[in-house]
Amino acid sequence: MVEPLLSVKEVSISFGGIKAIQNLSFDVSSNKIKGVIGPNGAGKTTIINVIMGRFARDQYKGNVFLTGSSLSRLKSYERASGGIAQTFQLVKIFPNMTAIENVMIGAHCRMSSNIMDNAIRNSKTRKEEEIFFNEALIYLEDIGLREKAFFLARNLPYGSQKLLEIARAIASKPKLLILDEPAGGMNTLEVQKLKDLLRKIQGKGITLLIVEHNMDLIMDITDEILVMNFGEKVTDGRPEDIQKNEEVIKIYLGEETDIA
Amino acid sequence: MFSIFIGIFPFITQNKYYLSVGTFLGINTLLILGLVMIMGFGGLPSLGHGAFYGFGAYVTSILNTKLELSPLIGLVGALLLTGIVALIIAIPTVKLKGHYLALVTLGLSFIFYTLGVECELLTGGIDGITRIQRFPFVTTDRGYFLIIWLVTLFFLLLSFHIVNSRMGRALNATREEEIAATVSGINVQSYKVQAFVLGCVYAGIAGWQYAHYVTFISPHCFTPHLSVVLVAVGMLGGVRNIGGALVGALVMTLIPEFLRAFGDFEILIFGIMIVLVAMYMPEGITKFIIQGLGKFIKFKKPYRA
Repeated sequence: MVEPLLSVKEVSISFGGIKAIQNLSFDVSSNKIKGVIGPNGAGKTTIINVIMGRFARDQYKGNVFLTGSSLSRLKSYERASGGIAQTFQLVKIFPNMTAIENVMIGAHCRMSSNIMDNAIRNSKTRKEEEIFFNEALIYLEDIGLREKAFFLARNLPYGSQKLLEIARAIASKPKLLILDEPAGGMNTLEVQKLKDLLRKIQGKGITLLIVEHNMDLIMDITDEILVMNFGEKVTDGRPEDIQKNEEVIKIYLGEETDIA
Repeated sequence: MFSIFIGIFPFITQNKYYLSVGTFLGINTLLILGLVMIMGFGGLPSLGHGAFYGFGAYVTSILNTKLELSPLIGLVGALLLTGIVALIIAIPTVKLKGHYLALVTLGLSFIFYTLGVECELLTGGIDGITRIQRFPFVTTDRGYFLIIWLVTLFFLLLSFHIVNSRMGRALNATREEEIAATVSGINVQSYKVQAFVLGCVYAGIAGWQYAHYVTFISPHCFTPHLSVVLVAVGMLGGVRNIGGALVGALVMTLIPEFLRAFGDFEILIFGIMIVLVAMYMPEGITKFIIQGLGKFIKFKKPYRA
C-alpha cells in the first residue's frame, strides 16, 4: 500500500481540563482532497495547529508524520520548507503590502538571498527578485487578480483576500495545503470559483486538507471526509458513505445545512 | 526617492557654521536610520539607541587614546563590538512583547550612562575622553562634511536595498502578521534580531563619526534622554521609510538652532510641534510630504514590486 502523505497518529491534547482532541488518527493520501467536517468545537482547528507545530512537544501526545518522517522535530516556521502550507479561517494577509508582495512572501522559503546579498543588491538578489516577481504575477493570474497586483491587500474585497491567501500558500510549492474554512464569507458564485481553483491546485500535484462547514463544497470536491465531534474521530470515508452514515446524520440533525 | 538624496547632497558652502551643522546632520541621519531599521522595519521599540551610539563612540575613543590605534581600526572595533553587544542583547529580548522590550532598552540606556560615569579607568568617568584624533587624511571642515556624508549615504543606500528585497518583505510581513509570516517560512525571531543588530551597528558607526569629529566625548553626550528624543524625532520623521531618517535628523539638528532665538520657549515650541505632528501626521512628516507631493510629481517606483 502506498504510504500516505500525512499521517496523524493517536494525537491527544487538552487545555486546562478540556480534552480538545482525543486519540485522533487519520491519514491523507497523496494528491487527494480530504475534507474535515464537524460541529464547532470539534477540534478541527486544533488539529491543524498541532500539525503546524504551534504547540510545544510536551503539550500533546501522539505524532504527526509527513511522508514518513515526524514533524515534531521541525520548528513552526520550518513547515513551509518542509512542504506544508496553510490558509486561515480569518484571513491573514499582509494588509499594507501589495497583492504581489503578499504572494512573493509565500515564496520566501524558496528564495535564498540573505541580509548581505540584499544590502549590496548583488546579482543573486537581482536575479532572484526578477524570477520570483514574474512567478508571482503568474500566480495572481491564476486567481484572477493580475490587474490588481499593485493594489494594497487591505483594499481588496474579502473574497479576493481569501484567494490571495491561497495564492500565497501555493507560492511555497507545498506538498500539502491545509485550508481552514476557505469558503467562509463567500457567496455561491465565489464558492464555485473556489471549487475550480482547488481542483486546479490538485491538478498540480498538491494534496489538500480542507476544514469546512460548507457542505456543498465538501461533498462536491473531496475524495474522502473525516468527521470529528468532541475531539474524536466519528468516521472517515467517502462522501457518499458519510452522507448515509447514521451517526453523522445525528450530529447534524436539526441543522438547516442538509448533507444529502 | 533615493535619487533625490544623491542630488541634494554635499558641496556648496564655505561657511564653517553651516558645514558644522551639516556634518552633525550627517551623523544624526545615520543614527536615526538605525532606529528606523529597528523600530520602523523590525517593529521593535528601542529606547536604548543612545546607548549603542555612545558605545561605538567609546570603543573607538578608547582604542584611539589608550591603545594609539588609528581611527580606521576604531571603526572596525566600533562596528564589531557594537554588533556583538547588540546580538547578545537581542537574542533573549526580541521575544518580549513590545512594552517589555521598550523597558529593557530603556534600562540599557541607564546602564550605559552609569557605566560611562563609573568606569573611570576605562572611560574617564564624567569628564570623558579628550584628544581623540581626527581622521588621518582629512584636514578641512569641508573634508569632514564629505567623509561623514559619504559614510551615511553608503548606509542609506544599503538600507534602501535591504528594504526593497526579500529581507525587507520578511520584516514587513513579520510586523504586520507574525503568524502568517511564520507559516510562510519566515523565522521571525531571526529577522528581528538581524534588524536590531543592524540598527545598533548603524548607531555605533554614528558614534564613531561623532567621536572623531568632535574629538571629545563624555557620558553627557549619550544620556537616556537622548534615547527618548531619538525615538520621538524618528517617529516625527517617519519611522517606516528610509527618508524619514533624514527628516528626523533635520528636525533634531536644525530645529534647536532655529529655536535658539526664542530662548526659554525653545522646549515649549518643540513639544508643541511634536504633539501637532503626532496628531495630524501620524505616519511621520515624510509620509505626509510624499502623499502631498504625490499629487504633483509621480515618484519613480523603486525596483521592488
